Amino acid sequence: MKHKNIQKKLLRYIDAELPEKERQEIETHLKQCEQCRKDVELLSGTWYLSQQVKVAHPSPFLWEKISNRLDIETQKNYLIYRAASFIREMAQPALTAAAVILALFIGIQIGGHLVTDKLSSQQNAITTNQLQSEFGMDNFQLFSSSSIGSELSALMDYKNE
Amino acid sequence: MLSKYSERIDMNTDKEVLMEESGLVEKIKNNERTAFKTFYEIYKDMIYSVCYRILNNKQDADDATQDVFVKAIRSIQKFRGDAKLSTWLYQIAVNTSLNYARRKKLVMWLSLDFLMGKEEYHLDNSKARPDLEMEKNESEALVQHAIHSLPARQRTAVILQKYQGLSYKEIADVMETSLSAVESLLHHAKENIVDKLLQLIK
Repeated sequence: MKHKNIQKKLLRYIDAELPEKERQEIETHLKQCEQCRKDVELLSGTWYLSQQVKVAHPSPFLWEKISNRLDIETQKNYLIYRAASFIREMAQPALTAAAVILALFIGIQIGGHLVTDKLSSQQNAITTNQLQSEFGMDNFQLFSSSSIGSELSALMDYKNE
Repeated sequence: MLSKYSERIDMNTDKEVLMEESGLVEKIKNNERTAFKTFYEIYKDMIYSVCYRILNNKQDADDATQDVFVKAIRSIQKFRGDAKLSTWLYQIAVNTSLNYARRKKLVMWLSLDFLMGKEEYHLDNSKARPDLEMEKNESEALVQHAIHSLPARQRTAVILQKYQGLSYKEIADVMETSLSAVESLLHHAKENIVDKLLQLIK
């Protein structure tokens, strides 16, 4: 096993994480290599000593900061809750009023169209009756502008008969 | 009462721990303020330790710890109780700390501090802890420096194993990955630490 490869595995060897075969290979190498023995000694000393150091505690005022943040968030949530309640309270009468206005508007629109249609049909009826009485035409028919030519032609033929 | 809780967490009786924790969790879900404080007192050192090891800075660790507890209390309804509360808390702590580190790195890049050759994180001054032996302090500083040079996921795996004493399975649960992925992370992390430590020590 090459020296560099051995060196890479030293920490895992120190932590007893190597498979048995690799552990034995390293131990065989360590018996022959003073440099690697020194490296193991340095690494294990540093590695294990560092584990004995306890991390300091968090700041003594940390709970106060956390508590204040929770209070602020609770207040924000409370304000949002009150705003939502207010909107719900106002929504019902507002929606009712809007529905009434909309109904009135629709009613006016429909009513207006109905009146217009009736007047229009009455006007048509008057026009037809006038034409019949003035020109004495029994079979007056309303015709489209595109058929004017053929209708005139029919009238001429009738006249010539 | 708090020491009783702490003892429970140290014991390897998962069911008992879960039962004790389920009482506390229910109280937090019911918004009982005293439960929040108890929750904080039980877990503050555990969370702070993880945050500090990842961030290597006391002020940053305080800020991250604060964020972790606020998030945990606010999202306690999402905790289903089918796993240990500590696992869930570790997940929040790791994610919060790594996000914090990424934001700080981005700020450094934007402020061009890296061009001035300033170190991203400095080692804590050992004089701040006069009660510890010099050798332990130096060792801890060297190892912390080596760990801090690792990629984020390798760093996280080593911290959880070495400083929090978690098993491979527990680390896999916290990091939401497979056992083989954890083995691989630790394998590469320790190879990198050896390189770094030997450079620093020799």
